[in-house]
Amino acid sequence: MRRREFSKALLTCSLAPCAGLAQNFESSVLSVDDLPELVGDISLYLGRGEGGLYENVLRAISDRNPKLTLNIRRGPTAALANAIVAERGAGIRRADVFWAVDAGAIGLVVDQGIAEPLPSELVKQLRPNYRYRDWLPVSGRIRTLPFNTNAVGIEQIPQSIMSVPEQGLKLGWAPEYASFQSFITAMRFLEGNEATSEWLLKVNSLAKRYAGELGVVMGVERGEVDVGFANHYYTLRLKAGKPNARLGLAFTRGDSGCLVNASGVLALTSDKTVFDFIRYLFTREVQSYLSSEAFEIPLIDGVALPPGVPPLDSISPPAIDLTQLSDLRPTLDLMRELRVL
Amino acid sequence: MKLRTTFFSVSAAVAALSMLPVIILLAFAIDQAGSGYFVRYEIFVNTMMVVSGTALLACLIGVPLAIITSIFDLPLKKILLAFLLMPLAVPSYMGAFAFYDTFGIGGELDRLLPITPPSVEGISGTIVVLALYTYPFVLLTTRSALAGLDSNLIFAARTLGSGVFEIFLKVIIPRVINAVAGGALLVALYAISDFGTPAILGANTYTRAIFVEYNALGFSQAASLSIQLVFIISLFLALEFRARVTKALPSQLVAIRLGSGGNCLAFLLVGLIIFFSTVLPVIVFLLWLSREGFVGVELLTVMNSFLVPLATAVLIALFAIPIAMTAAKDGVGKILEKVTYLGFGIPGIVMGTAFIYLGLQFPPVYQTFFLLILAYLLRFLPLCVTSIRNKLEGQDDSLVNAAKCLGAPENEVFFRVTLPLISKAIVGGGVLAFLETIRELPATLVLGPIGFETLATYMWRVYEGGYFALAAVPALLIMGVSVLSLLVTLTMEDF
Repeated sequence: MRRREFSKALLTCSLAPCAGLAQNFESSVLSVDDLPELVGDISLYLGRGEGGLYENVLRAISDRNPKLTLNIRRGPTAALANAIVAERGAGIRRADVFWAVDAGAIGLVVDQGIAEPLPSELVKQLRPNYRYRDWLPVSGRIRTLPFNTNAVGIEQIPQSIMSVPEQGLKLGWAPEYASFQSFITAMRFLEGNEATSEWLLKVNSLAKRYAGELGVVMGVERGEVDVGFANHYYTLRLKAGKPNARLGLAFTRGDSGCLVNASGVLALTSDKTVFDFIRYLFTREVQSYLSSEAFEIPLIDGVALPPGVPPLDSISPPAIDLTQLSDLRPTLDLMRELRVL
Repeated sequence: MKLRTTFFSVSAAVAALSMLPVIILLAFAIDQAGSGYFVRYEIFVNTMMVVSGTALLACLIGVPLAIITSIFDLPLKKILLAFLLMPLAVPSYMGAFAFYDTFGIGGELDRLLPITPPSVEGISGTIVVLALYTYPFVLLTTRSALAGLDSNLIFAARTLGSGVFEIFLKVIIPRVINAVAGGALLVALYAISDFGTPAILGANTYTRAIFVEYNALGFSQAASLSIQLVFIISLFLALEFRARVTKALPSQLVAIRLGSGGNCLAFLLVGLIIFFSTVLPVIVFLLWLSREGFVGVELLTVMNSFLVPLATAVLIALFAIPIAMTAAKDGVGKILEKVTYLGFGIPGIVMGTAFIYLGLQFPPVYQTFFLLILAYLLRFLPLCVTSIRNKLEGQDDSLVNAAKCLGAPENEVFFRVTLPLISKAIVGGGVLAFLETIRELPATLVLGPIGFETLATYMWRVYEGGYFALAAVPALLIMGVSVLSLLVTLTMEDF
């Protein structure tokens, strides 16, 4: 149902009050009405993991642009990044756009030098510390510790990620999920491989494993585990649908446990339709939707933060550049070696 | 070219194609020899636990059910049997969805009951779910052996003073033991190559590990694991060929009448199994529907899910005829037929990884329908071949000979006599292949062309996103079509 409402909102947005539209947008943020109609074929590689929410955005864009044929390949983000690199190695050009749920996978592709440089006015839309030449962060997400409010109080949760496994808490995690793997990459940079290995081994012996981080948060809410490792929005989405959920959100301080990561998009074909398609993702309507419905953090000025997210200056993310997260392969090798994967 | 030569060439060509995945995997292993061989003992142990546990539990369910539905004279026996065979039509990953959602903390039962039921997950959970969907293999093989049981044997044992138990141990069991073993092997083969159930319930078996490695940039690890898995499966297949049972026709069928108490007990057992394997998933999916409202799937997804399997099934039927004909006629043909069985033993995820590698070497076929359908074809062709060959072998040669005596040329004999005689078996085998293709998951996930989504891959996607409820409509659709197709096969063949 939401999907239909959103399509309608995108189609008729100019005057009608949009669902979740930020109140104080600046004129610099484009509306879908300012964009040309998309015509032609686009092949999009879409990293899975966000359930139906990104699908809704894509459907709304397709509905608004009937002359656009949007072919979507879905897969786990790391697998798609790998496929793009392998395809290019074999001389196959299949993907035009890559929308990944995680900056690490984006970096993996960017490092190969196969991403097309993006038009500078597109890049300038983003907040200054989120500007890159070859890719654009679409929305931000914070690593958090969701906890069951019946089982533990927030004061029992340590402020350092490294001491979380020492507290005798029942833990839940999804080590196969791309965002988790990027969090481990950040931990490797900040704490070194040895400390990261010890941490992984400890958690591996304690934690219950889930297929994805929504599963982790659901497990925390059900009381299967006390504390989980997950991106912030899973908790907010679950609480939005179930206001009396026994769920709280804790943040560590200054370490990989509160890493701010981003979903990102890059172009593999230098083409006007492709760039215009990417422009759609940075319109007021799409960014507001991602903020209000998906609880993701908008990275362009003039779109309000999602409800329930503490002000960004109240959390203290580690000093890590998102492009450093592309060092994914050693992370995966480490996790494999420790039998975490 | 003579028809027989054509048939032989087709058989030989398909047999050669069947070896392709294995050859690709070996080539890849040699290619990657530098990066070391990837061995994980716990994956082997987990897989073996799942396989042996499932086979054992499937026998514990299947054998009593076979006895109940064959030698006891129960009312409504045929209908009961049709219901008991239903799990063959339901992919086990649907059972995994349903059981995962029903049991454990926060499950459907937890909300209804004051106590929390244990969760169905991990290795034990995988065994329970897989056994509930594979016992029909044991049921079918055991029943066909029991059908060969002559009641005179039982009468003789009774006359000589044996009790029920002794008859069971000394007369019935020895007759069916081979058939049970044959059924158990089929169960083991299903369990070892199934991907969805262990993946959903979190048992780290070969198929799940291959998928995880494939997705974590571990292509060579995935290939190493695939080769190990194919090696284990080929051992199983070798056993399976030895365990084929021969049927004997009894002079008098056994029909033991039970008292009303016995009837009740039999019905209770049958009812329990039908409830857990078929009714429970339907209830769970309907519950999701009622809770979330009707969320449809795209028409294109539905079309993909039916048209591609339909095309595959037609192709399979076309290829199966020459292979079965050749196998029924000459010795080399029999060997060729066995080679085509290779594909059936190669799990979808392994076939997928192999063909992705192939596609990267030959870009024009990379992620095209050509490779996807070829993968389906190699995997499910044996189902149709077996169906046709069984029919051909069970057939009296007199009609064919009569036609030959009357001077009909080879072509005419085939098209006017043989083909009509085996037409039901062709359709039956084709329907089986169609059924398997509709619900195929891992190869479709890996090999599907861009934008290609089926009901099965859609279900997997919403599962990964944590939006279980969206899987209700596709799940019910797949179940509905599967049950319909099964009914078609059942009416085509005598069972």
